[in-house]
Amino acid sequence: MNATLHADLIGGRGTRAGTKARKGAAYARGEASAGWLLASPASVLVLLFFLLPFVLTIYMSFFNWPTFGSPSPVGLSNYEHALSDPAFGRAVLFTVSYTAIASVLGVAISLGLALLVRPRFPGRTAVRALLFAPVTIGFAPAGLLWLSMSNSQTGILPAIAMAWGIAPSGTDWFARTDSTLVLVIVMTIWKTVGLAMLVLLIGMDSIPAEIYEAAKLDGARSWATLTRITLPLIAKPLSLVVLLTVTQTFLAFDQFFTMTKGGPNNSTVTVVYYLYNAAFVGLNRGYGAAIAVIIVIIMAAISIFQIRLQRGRA
Amino acid sequence: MTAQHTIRVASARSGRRRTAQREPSRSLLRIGIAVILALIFAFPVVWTVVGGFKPTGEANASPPVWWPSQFSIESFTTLNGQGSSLWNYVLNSATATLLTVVITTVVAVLAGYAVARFRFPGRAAFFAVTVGMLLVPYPALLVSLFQVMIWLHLTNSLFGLSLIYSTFQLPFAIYMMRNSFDSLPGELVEAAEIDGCTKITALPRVLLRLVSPGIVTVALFAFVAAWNEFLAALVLLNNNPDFTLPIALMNAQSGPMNTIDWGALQAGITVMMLPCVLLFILLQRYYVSGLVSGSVK
Repeated sequence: MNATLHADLIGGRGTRAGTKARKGAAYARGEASAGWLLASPASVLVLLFFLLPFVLTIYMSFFNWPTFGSPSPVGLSNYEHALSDPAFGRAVLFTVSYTAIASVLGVAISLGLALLVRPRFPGRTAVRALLFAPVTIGFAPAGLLWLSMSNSQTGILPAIAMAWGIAPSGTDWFARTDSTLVLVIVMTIWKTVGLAMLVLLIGMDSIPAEIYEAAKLDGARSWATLTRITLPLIAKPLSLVVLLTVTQTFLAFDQFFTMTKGGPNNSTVTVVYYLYNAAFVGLNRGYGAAIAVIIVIIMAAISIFQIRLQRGRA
Repeated sequence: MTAQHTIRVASARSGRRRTAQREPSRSLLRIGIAVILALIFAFPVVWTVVGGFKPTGEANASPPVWWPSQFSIESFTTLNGQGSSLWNYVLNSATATLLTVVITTVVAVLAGYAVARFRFPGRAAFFAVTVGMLLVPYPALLVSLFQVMIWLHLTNSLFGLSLIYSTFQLPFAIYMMRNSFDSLPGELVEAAEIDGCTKITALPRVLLRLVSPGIVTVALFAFVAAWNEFLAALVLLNNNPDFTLPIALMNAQSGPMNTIDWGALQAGITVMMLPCVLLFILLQRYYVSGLVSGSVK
């Protein structure tokens, strides 16, 4: 949901716009204290619930921090444990492949949908609204919804699959890793492509119509128009969509917790799921904190790489 | 050259109109595909809502029943009797959500006004930190947030949960409000500030009404985020009567002896989905303006 902010991070606008608006104005005395007064509630929240836990996470990661009892310092052993635990390696590998598949499909489908519903046609608004509506549903209820649609006894999807001769009656789709993953990916795409589609549509709407008219006069075919005009001119919203999709997919938890519980045989444990198990099911919160720090580093690397890429192109 | 350009554009426009008329089959194909996709996207929601209103027997029938023989609220009453009542969980979720909406909106309006209209030391750093929060995924902070909540005596508290929700809404909310105040015409703001005696009193007297679209957008995004949030609620609430709706649903889903009442689950999902879908229908343009505000710039 935080599409706009990433745009600002990508564009690197910072606070420049704010300064510009007040250029040349005279500043009353006490403006500084009034400014801080207004910003103080936000500062308190950010301090208590962001900066403090942020620092504390790093601190805790160097401790054996039991759920009950007093913590003891252990140096880097939590990190050594994480990097040598094959289960964490499997979780990273699974999350990376899941992110790769779901992101490529998600971005491609949202681009396709945006191009499909871009021109005017009767009922366009209703179609766009229906495509976007799943975005407003949470991942947890959406996961439970698809779980109830896919269960082997009462689910409608296995019933349809049986009627079409795809799978025999009573097949448990959650018994195999591949069919489980297909279901989770289909659910995720259903729930997320509407948002990406809308961001891309907004980007497309800002392209001046004259450019297309000129291209048409020059006899450009629709494929050339797409690859030479539309795609380059929506490079920024598109990279925003890629960044959002990749980061959100990488942090997937709700849909796996509700749909697969990490199964079958722990084959669908994502990195955040592993973090949840380590910190809240396991007994050493320090180990959970070390996993958290590793996740923060991975995410920062992804975001900074994306932002660099975008700035380099601009 | 300008005239030439105008002519080119004009002729191109009429040209496009002609080609559009010449290819009705192509646009019919487009409409057909779009409508089918829209129906496929809507199907899971419709299926679940209908499922929630099936009599328990039909909701759990195998093979599934497409359309109920009669509509029934049996599943909703079942859900209301399980352990703690459905309405209790709805109330919990509503409390956490409304607190989040109020806190986020008030805090972000003040901070956005400060960043947009006041010069104070540390302003750039303040804004950079709030927006920079986006680079840190909040699931990573839950381990230590749990500890912080113990220190603040806010464990198992819906108020504590809403403070966390509000904090993680602030990047979007402050950014949105900063832009809203920035986009007001400068003369208007200065006049209001003079009429309102001080910059502070100008806010409630004049400016608040002018930035109300931004406020609605901020409130809407806070509502949807808080209503749907799962992981923090799962980690920070440990008493069943305190659970928010998604956590309660997750628990209801794994019933005794691994039997699941699918009708009750679908009824619960319906209650979860309804407010967000309704708000979306009512406030669509605020969704869009929330997305426009940054993605184009």
